[in-house]
Amino acid sequence: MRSLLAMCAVGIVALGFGYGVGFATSAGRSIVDTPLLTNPYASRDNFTGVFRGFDRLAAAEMAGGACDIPTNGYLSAQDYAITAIQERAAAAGLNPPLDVARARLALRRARAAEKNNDLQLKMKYEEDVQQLLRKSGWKDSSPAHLRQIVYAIDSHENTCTPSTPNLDQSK
Amino acid sequence: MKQAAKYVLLTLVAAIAGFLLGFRHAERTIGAGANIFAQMLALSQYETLANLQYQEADAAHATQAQLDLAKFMQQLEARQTIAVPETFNYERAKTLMHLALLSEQAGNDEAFQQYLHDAQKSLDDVDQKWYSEEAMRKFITVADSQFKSGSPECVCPSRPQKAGERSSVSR
Repeated sequence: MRSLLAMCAVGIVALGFGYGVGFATSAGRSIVDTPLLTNPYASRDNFTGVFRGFDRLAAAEMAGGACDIPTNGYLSAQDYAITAIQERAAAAGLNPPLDVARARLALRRARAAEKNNDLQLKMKYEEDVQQLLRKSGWKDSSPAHLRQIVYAIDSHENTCTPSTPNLDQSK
Repeated sequence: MKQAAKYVLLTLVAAIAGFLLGFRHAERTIGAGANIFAQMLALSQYETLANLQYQEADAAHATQAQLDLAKFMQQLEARQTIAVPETFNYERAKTLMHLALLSEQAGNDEAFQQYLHDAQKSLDDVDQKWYSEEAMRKFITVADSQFKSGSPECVCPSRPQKAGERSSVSR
């Protein structure tokens, strides 16, 4: 009887331990694949690389657009994602409008440069915006127009709306 | 000695069974949630760029972006299990309606009819209703105005009116 009880106890403890390890392993895999952490280069399949790149771009854009604080980390994450998508899109038979994403990124960089009082750099980024939008066939390729659009999208996702009107100062 | 072997075997079997249970449980909960999040995020980012092209660029660039988005959706559907099919079909209907309207603008009636039919079919897959052409036009106008004002894209509160409510076009 005593031996049976001991066996049951050992079995339950081992089952619980195994369950915990299994749960943590699977959860860990999901966490590594979360949009901001996912590595577009990690998959051998080109489509999955593009898919993960868009995940990462979306996460970085959401985080970078929030509260109008485009920190370098988020901007670099966007840049990294755009490059990763570009490198694998053609092989996956896709041609997403990445110049629009680049223009949006340049606009955010212009905003960051403005915050740092680097007006020369800001102008350079704004020229990039114009060039990229013109290349994308936009009827109005001015940075002010894109700023309006980005502002509308940000203000919807933004939880810190009081700081966003600053975006219009540089018009 | 025999007793010790029994305990070791029991521990191993219970730990492996626990591992499998835990892994599967996390996959069905955390993994499924992460999958929904990843699909929504990637798709919404792709759509944001393609829809910006649709609204701001010339017809050639707009068509190219929408065709590419449709291709991305097609590949996504072929390679992954769609986490929320209703939303996915709703988004596909929007893309197909954009293509229909672009074809109409280009004077290509055959392509217009084909895309319109495909869009109707996509919404039919959502709620087993066949919507009239008029309802589909209204649906895309509302969806586009939501996008312009920065409203969420993937949530689908507005559906076109049912064909039976306004016209006799129904199956």
